[in-house]
Amino acid sequence: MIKTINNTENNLKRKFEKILGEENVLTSKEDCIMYATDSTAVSTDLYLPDYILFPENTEQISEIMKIAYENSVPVTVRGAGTNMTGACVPFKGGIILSINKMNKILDFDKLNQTIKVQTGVIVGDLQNIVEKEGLFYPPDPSNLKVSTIGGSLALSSSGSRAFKYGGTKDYVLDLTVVLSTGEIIKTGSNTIKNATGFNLTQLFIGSEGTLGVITEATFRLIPKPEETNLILVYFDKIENAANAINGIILNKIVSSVLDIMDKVTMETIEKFSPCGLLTDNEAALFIELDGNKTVINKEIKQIIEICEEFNATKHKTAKTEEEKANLWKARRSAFAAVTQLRPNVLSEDMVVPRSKMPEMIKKTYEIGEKYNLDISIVGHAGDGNFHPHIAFDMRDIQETERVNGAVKELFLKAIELGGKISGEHGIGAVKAKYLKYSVDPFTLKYMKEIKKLFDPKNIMNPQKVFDYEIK
Amino acid sequence: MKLNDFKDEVYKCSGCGLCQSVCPVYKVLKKECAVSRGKFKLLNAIINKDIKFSKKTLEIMELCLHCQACTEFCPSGIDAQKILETTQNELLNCGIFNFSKFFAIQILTNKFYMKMLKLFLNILRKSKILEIASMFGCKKSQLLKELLKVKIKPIEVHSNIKKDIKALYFKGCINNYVNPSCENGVKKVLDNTSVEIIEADFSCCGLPLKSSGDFESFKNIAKINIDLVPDDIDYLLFDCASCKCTFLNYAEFLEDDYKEKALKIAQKCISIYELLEKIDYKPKSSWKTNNITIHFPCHIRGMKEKEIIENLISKIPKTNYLKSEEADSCCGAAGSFILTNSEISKEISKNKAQNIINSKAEIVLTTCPSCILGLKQGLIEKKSKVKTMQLIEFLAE
Repeated sequence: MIKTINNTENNLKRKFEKILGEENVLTSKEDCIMYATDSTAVSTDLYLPDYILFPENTEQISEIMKIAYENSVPVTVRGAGTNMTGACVPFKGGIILSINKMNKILDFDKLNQTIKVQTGVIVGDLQNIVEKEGLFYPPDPSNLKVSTIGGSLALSSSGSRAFKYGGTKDYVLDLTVVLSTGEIIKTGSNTIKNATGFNLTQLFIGSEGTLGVITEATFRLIPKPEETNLILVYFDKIENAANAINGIILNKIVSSVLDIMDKVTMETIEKFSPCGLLTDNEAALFIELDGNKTVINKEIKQIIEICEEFNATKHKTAKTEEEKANLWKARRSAFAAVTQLRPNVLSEDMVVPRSKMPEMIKKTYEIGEKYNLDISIVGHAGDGNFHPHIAFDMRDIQETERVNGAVKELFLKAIELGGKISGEHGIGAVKAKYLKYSVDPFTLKYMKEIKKLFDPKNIMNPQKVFDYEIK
Repeated sequence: MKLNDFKDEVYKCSGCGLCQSVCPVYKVLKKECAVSRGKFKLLNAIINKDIKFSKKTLEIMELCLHCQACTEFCPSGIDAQKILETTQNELLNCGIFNFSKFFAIQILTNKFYMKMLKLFLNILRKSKILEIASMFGCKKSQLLKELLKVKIKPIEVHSNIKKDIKALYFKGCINNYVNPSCENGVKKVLDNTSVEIIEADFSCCGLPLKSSGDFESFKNIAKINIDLVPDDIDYLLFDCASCKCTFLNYAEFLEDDYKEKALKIAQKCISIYELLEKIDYKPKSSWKTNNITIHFPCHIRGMKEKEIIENLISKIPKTNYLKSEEADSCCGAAGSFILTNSEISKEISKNKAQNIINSKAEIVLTTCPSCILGLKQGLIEKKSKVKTMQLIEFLAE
């Protein structure tokens, strides 16, 4: 069903067209339907925006925000629309501000090893550009081939390499942000060090478009590792795999990636893009090592020895670049592949202290059984962040209720183990009602005060992050 | 098939949005209406009766190259092509269609009109209009001039070798009406082999009708073409990847006797390159060293043909094969797309041309006559000197 909240009475279309040109303003019902959802199964209802705008620079965004502020029109910023929390769903209608045409590299400084970009640049493109010069931007969300820098910043995303290299937040030096009033502010500095005033940069990271529109960002880069290698280790019991992770870490080996995949995930990947995963095992560890070649080879040997102590059944090292690329492709398509099972997939994102991973995994399967749901697990085991993928059909009301019940139990368990309800996807719409379990009341109060300060009219991505009722 | 039959298929789109990474139209347009995710969201709303078919629906459905890149890639395994064609068919039945495109396709698929067009092109070729217009910077005239440049006369070949393989040759519209360079290539290359070429008065393969959703006319043209194929041939030979692909689709649209015939014919369909591999053809040395690259047509996506072509090229003496990036992404011409969405088409061709230029090749080869249009369009825009050629022409040189 279509639910519209009309914000068009002042007919701002002309004004927007004057700023952006006709081709960059969409208002047809067809277009609005296409921008009503992102990649999250939020609701079978459609919440339509009124305008979809494609600005190309900070100044245009500032002009748009002035009009939106004056007319109290909600603004939802959208990158590739590939988030997992319904962060781009315009529940209150209004403007979808697409940053996809804000895709220019503004300054690539090889001497200072920094790069300044507009936030519509695609993460994968940025990586390719810097890697051609022997530099490295490590954050690697699994949809990096399409997802934007802006989305990465807004949702504080990271990826498989976070275990060794950290996430998006660890590479940002400065930001240009347009506030709800249209004012343009610049946070941080393009220098490596900066202790000048409050660190507002980090405030905007993970703010999910509720405080302002991030339009430009400078990142620090690091030298590209000389060599990388991949190894897959199989286990016939998932507990063994989880314990092997702790074994590896206790031996002070810091791999660039330490991911875990369970049987269902492997089976589904094999069905969708066969790459020779051994699906008769219960779990596999996906380990990438990078750095000096001799050290890597030594560490691979060590890892195999450790895993064998924990009853690993088989292991495989990628020999060619092609094999590596093939395995990465399989790993990155884990979410999408699970959609083969059922029409909708919810990808959850709890994070626990990594020593608690075995317990969390065990509990996840128990919950899956209790609620009679298809749950498969992919996780960044190295940093305690893991993604249970729940495949279901949103049109089945009873099943959807069971999913909600399971999700709540998963969250409460993660919190009980000393964890949080999101590691890298953010809160968005679907987790807003659980925020209060994971953040104490006083902290939450100040978060809301900050929101009010930056967005007094509550027009920036309303109904996200905080505890509003979502129908 | 009706759009409603695809209800579950359309709903299956998880919205992962990864189709943005492979869609050439999205790369230019940066809008959701380009990718299949956006189209599926819209179709889902139409199926749920939240919104009705409109002229805008058609415009959005036409924002597609039918290059199949998303279908091949889709993690949820949704066949976008089929769904879009069915939607266009339903739109047509509702009386919603693009008049000029419909008209153009009717001409394309009618032998009489095409013969008139051929006469017109001949006049154009002999006159100086195109030359003068391109001197004044009209890139469209330059493109047309390039396309018409080649000598028009089909060659005659007579060899004394014993011919024991009978191949019925489906020439396709470009050979028949624009210029027969491919045909000449095929005949020259097969001259000294055991393959005998038989000809028949085929119509267009019908692809433009199928892609625009005019299934009734498509069925009729398929039947006419099927009737022209005798039983006693060994192969039905194609020099165009698109025409071959369309013939393989005939059975799906037909019933009873014609379906059976179409299935039988499908087994005999062979591209000139597959045939050359079968008869173990050895390419001759060319007269000078060439740096070449390949553009793979969309219609060989997911087929073994890609390997066959690369293999064939590796056997040509004095030829360096330089791989270009995204060699299998669409050239931008995509049948009527170059007419209906000319600006987007041009940008896609430019991206394609840039990849070709980056490969440092002097010649770009392809195996589909209509791709030449897209390749030339991009290279002219980029003011590049890279030559375009059919692989079969290159082999014949």
